[in-house]
Amino acid sequence: MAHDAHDDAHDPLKHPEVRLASGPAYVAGFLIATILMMVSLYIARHPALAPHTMLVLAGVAGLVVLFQLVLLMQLNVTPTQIWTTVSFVLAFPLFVIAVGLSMWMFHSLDARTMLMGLMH
Amino acid sequence: MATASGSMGAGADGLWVEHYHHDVIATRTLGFWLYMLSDAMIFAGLFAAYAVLTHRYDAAGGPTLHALVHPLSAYGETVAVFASVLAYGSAMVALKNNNRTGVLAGLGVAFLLGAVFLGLEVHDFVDLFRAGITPQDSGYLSAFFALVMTHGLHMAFGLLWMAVMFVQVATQGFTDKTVYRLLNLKLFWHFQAILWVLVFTFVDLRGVL
Repeated sequence: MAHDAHDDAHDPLKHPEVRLASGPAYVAGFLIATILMMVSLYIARHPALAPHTMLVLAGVAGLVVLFQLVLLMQLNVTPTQIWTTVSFVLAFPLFVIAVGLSMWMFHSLDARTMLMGLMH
Repeated sequence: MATASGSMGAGADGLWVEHYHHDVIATRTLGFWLYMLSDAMIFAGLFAAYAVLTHRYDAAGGPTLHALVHPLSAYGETVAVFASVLAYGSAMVALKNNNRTGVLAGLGVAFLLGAVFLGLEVHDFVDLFRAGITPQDSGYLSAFFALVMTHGLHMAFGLLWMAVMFVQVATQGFTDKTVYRLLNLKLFWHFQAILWVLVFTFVDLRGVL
């Protein structure tokens, strides 16, 4: 649009969110996520490796998500990204509560209402 | 709106000028990010339904995860979606360097890898349907298909959006509008990769155990 007249002041490519792009961070994020997911696959196929396999897999998944948020989404506390980070930090508990409380509720319902031994 | 003049020379009453002359790109990316976070709540609902409905009892004697998932194929999908995100990242680096060809190449490769992901997923679904395994067979299968298909649908819309951006960047270049749309699509596409980590772990890998 106003590319000629106001070139410097309004060049969208000078926007701080465009300047955030970082090749090394993206490559690191890709490698870490791909390798950790391969580790997860290996653990799942050899469950004897880890006693609480599903918990370990959940932990690895959490780690991968964390790396992706930091390296790919570039969540941090710089002036450019602070509100992206704050809104994520506020929304994340809602996600965990929605899934966690549903599981807990149905898990305890199951224990209280199902006829043990008949239904399982 | 974004064409008002003199952001440098307005130092005297800079506070007011800054306030009036708000940052369109940042406003739109934050708005879209808030949408992504509410979209994540849809997935929270689907993950919750999946978690409570994947008890053997809910399968009504039908197939359970073990029969539904192919971990190696799912890992292939994982690599495809991560590589697609990496290609999109290369497009963002090219954008930073004002390299239109680089952006188009990055978008193109990201699109192809996303299509590979979707192709593998559709292939798996067709296999299941051929085997007579459909969403309406049990609560267990409904929860499974709803979760995985919702993610697949997001990927399909991401591909559509990417094709549109390819055309817009090719024809319009880097304007305020195409740039904030590229930034928003980056948020969308990377978010799908994050959700896929959860789907892969809690659906595909759990099915192997």
